[in-house]
Amino acid sequence: MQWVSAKSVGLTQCPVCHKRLRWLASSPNFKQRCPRCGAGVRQRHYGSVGQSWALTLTALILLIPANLLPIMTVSQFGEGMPSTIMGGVVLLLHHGMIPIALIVFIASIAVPFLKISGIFVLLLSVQFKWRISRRQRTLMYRMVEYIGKWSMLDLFVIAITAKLVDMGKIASIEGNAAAVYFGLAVVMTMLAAMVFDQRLIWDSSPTSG
Amino acid sequence: MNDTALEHKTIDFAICHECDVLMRLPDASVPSALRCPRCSSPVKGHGSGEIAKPLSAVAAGLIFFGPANFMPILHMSILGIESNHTMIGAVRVMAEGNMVPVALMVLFCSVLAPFLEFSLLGIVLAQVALGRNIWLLPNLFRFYTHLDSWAMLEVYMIGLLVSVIKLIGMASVTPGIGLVCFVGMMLASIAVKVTLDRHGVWRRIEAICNG
Repeated sequence: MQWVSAKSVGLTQCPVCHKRLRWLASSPNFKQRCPRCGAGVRQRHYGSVGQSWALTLTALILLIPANLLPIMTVSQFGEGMPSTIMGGVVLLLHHGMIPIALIVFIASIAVPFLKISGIFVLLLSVQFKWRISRRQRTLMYRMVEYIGKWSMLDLFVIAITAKLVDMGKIASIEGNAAAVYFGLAVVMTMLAAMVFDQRLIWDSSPTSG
Repeated sequence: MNDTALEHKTIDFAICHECDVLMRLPDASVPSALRCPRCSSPVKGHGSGEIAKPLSAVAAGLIFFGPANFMPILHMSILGIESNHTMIGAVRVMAEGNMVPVALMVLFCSVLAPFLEFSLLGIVLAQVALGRNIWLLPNLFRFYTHLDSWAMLEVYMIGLLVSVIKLIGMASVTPGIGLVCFVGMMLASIAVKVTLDRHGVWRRIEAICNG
């Protein structure tokens, strides 16, 4: 089966409203305006791979303090117990709350690292033209993009429990520094997935398959 | 082959958003559930840009928004001391506890983004339904599409669930009236996403702007 990309026949589409447009210039830095929605249009996001690398690496660095520093402190009768992300999961396991420990583990430890390694694989495969199945890489990109927001779960849980347990000396829960790093890391990975132009996966493809 | 001939030849081809391949779409009579033949991502067909369904979901969301944010979602008591959780209150507690960046992230993802989504979409859909070309109509809809990844009501819902289970050993937690409104708002936002035909709405906006 012969495939023809829009780029190869001088067409493109608006990234926001998906209007079909004729591509007007050939320099890679050129940008035209979508006549329908006014968004800036390029055939491929300009500097997509470099920006995505920068954001992913930033996220990876931010995840180090996010995992090593305490993320929340539970105090009862004046005695504070700071815990890290992993510490919180272990605590839940000790209390026998296995399903909830699993949810927290997936959302705050597994998902960020899987997401970062997923983007790494995509970036490397595009840069070095690896011959991995393009269909599977597209699927992986879609998953990375979809699961992005679920890592915010931990921040929401901290905010919700901090508001509920706000009783001064008797009991209180508060967020600690790691929460800031963790939140920023999640935002960075979401941005890294957004700036990655998934059409690059298919660009190096031979016309068949 | 010159440009005009090429354009004419590909005029009824659609472009896949994910892999940039040109493909021929079946007739308008075929309902959605189309997939790109090369990368198998979902492809939108020729929808008519229905307004009534998403607009009513937006209205429901806006009605629920106030009580969901300001009324207590959860009540808790430890040793006879009562406390409760509101979405706005959670943001305030974070901000007061020197967690301003976290407070801002939570505020944006759970309160501001959903509110902006509902209100922008409400304005856009109402104007499209009335056929009025208001100032910046395409820009408002464009802004709405950018907000999509940042509104996280479903994640917040799971966050509530996890919080309740975490606190069960420590205190008794009971649902409040705000929870009903929050669930209503979340379902409304899902209904908006399911019923909104973006391409169809874009075509109608284009028709309005071109007079």
